[in-house]
Amino acid sequence: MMFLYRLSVLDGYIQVLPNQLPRDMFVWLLKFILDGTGELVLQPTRFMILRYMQRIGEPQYVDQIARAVGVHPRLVSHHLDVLEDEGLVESEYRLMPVDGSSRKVAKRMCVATARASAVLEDIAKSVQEVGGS
Amino acid sequence: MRHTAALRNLTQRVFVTFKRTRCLLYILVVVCVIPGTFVVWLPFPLRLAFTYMFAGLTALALTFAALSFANMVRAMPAVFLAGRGTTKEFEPPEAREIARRMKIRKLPKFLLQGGTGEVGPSTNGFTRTIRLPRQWMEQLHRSEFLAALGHELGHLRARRRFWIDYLVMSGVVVGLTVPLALHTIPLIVNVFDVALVLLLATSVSWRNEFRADRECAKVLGPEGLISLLELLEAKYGPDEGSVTHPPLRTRIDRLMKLLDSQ
Repeated sequence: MMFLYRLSVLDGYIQVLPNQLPRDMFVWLLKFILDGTGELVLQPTRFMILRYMQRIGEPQYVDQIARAVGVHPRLVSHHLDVLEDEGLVESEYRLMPVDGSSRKVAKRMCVATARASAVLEDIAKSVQEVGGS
Repeated sequence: MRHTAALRNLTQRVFVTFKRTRCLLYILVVVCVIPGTFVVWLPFPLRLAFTYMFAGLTALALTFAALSFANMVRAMPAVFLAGRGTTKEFEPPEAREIARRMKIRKLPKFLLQGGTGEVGPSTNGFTRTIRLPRQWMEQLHRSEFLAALGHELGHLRARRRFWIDYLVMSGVVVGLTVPLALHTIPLIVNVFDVALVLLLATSVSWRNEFRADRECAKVLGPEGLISLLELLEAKYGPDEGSVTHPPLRTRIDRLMKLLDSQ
């Protein structure tokens, strides 16, 4: 049975855990220690949102993302703020028509950046490396 | 840290879980009250059977309780020792505003502590000191760090209600002990007291944590705290709570309800 070695940038400790966490978790920390985004990407909901946006590749509303990943829109908005701070997501507000009304509302459209794609590709590659070793 | 994982695995393998410990303590309390009250009037064979059952149950429950407390006891030296050599006083720029919104008149002292491993932030209500791990400040997103800060300030905000709970708990223990003491032997009363205090202390502490979460969510919104708790759950795995803290999943679920209500 393979054990996962969880590395933490926080105190430099190594802890052996039973194989209960997704293998990606090890890799997220391992690969993003250097640029300090390890803890950021470790957040499971955030990772799910980022992966969804990278897969879709087109600008999405917060509501669309929330429906797709099954997370409350307020939480999605929070995670998008964090991802935007780290340069993994870009967002802009667009005026969109509302059904049954002549008025328009500003909606936040978000899209994953090239850096996000690079980060996720790096993770996929690292997972293969860990799986092969 | 390896010892921590080893202890956790060991306790899981021998079925010492916090939930089971609480169940045993509940059973012990009931046994103390119901058959324990009439033990002196029981005929000899029944009294002997009760004595063996009572002794076995007491030993089992207190052993489980001791093992459940072991993690907390183990963390204590780290909390005290780590705080001495590596703490530095500082004030997060947002702390004053958060405290103002929480209507905390006197700002507590903030200490940034390093080298404490897995020890998280803590609040000392007597000295009005909040300790925050340096690694959390460096690694977490600002919104999540502020959520941790808000939670600790929430403890200060709700400290009076904590003491009211504490006094009520003491009243309940004394109120139940005195009538029981009049009807049974002192040993049963002592065991009853220990079991009841262990149960009620957990309940008071959990309520205190939920209250601090709510105070934080009122001021900062629940998103940051939910995100932080999910991160902790992902790092350390699902938990069943401890003597001082409720399970992370329960706290997340309660905060999720606030997303729609606020």
